[in-house]
Amino acid sequence: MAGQPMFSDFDAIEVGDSRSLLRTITEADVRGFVELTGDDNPLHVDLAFAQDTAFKDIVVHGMLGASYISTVIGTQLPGPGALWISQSFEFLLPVRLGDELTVSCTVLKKHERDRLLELETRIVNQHRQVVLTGTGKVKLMIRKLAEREKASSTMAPRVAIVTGGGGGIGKAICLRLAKDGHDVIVNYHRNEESARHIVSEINAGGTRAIAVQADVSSNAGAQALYGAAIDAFGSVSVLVNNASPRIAPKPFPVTQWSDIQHHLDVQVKGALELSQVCLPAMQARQHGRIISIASQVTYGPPSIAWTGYAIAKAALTMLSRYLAAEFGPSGITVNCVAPGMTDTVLIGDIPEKVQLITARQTPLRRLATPQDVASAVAYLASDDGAFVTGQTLHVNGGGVMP
Amino acid sequence: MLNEATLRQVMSAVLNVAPSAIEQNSSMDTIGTWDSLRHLHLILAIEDEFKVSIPDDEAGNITSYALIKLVLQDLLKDA
Repeated sequence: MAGQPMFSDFDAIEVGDSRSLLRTITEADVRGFVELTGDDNPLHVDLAFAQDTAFKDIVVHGMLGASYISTVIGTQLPGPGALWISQSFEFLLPVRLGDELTVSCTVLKKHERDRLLELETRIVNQHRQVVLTGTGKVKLMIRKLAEREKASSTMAPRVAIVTGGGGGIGKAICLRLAKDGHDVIVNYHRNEESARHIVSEINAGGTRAIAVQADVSSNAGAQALYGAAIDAFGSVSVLVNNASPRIAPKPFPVTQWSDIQHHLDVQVKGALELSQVCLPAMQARQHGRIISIASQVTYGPPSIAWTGYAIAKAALTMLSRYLAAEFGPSGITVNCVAPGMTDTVLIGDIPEKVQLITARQTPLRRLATPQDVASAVAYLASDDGAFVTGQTLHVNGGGVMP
Repeated sequence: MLNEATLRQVMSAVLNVAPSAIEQNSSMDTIGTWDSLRHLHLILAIEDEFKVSIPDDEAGNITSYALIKLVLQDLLKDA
């Protein structure tokens, strides 16, 4: 069984698995062993001395044969990453120069939690005589998680769902993720024309896109959107929760619960439903990115009359933190991008004077652009953002410094 | 109707710069003499010149030519 493929995966090892190697012991081996250990006991190196003993001939160092057990453990069972932690030996017969030894290890027991193997170790000579028996314990080290992450992200498909993809920020995110090599599902609710334009713009480039109408605030809508993504591209690696109703400012006395409910449904329930349909496959691949578009209103001074919008943004931010904590161990990052006032139609209701004042009060002296927001999303979706989770990236020119 | 030439004159006098230095994108950032003390004088001079009253909560915020113009246009429209 020598030369069999190595075990690299603890889970693949089973009780009864066995690996061995064949080795002929030569004088050069003995000389090398003496040089290495300093054990020049004449029984091993001086024929005349050996002949005067009960053995009548040179006896090879017991540990020389035994040392090949290390070779089996380190290269075959379990292979690279093995840590030999204990071993017992019974030396049953002497090994002679020229003996052909079969050195084998067999799994007796597996301790899953400790990633520990109990091995039967045995050396047999060319006459099928057992010259050594024993048992050993070996631990299989876990490879660094970083390597695992790297491996999984390079193998991961690059497919992004962007909800509300037809809007100002949504469009910029779709185009940017496509530029970074993602296939894109441009989700829209009513903005069909814009979504179709974005799709043709992306399809003219190096990646593919489809436009999918869906109301993400319903479970059926989320399922349908995910289903369309799977049908078109096979999987989803990035989910961007960007959809939001118009802010529709309302003074509190005339605000109704239904106004707030509408924002909660689209922003929070939408993110929740879609996360739930996307997460199982992300978990299975140990890789996934969920990015939600939050808002500076959660962190800065309240924008009076934006009650529903702001409550939903705050809830979305908290949902994001909780998902980050729960799914971090599955290799999934969950983050928010919180823009300040961004130059899109969404702020069309805001008086020009307020926009100008906001820009004047911002350290970088302008409003955010959709591209500013898309760049932050792209970073969180990229391999460079692999170790960032549970965070909110504030893209606001310094307007608010939480 | 706002007479921008008049506005530029008032600003150049208070801020002690040439009228030609007052441009559409001028602001506290671009005119070195436009500090917070001069800004108070500027608001008073503008109110005086155009016979308007700039609300307190706006006076501190209109720190660029564009903003002053916008607020003045609003006030003059109502007048």
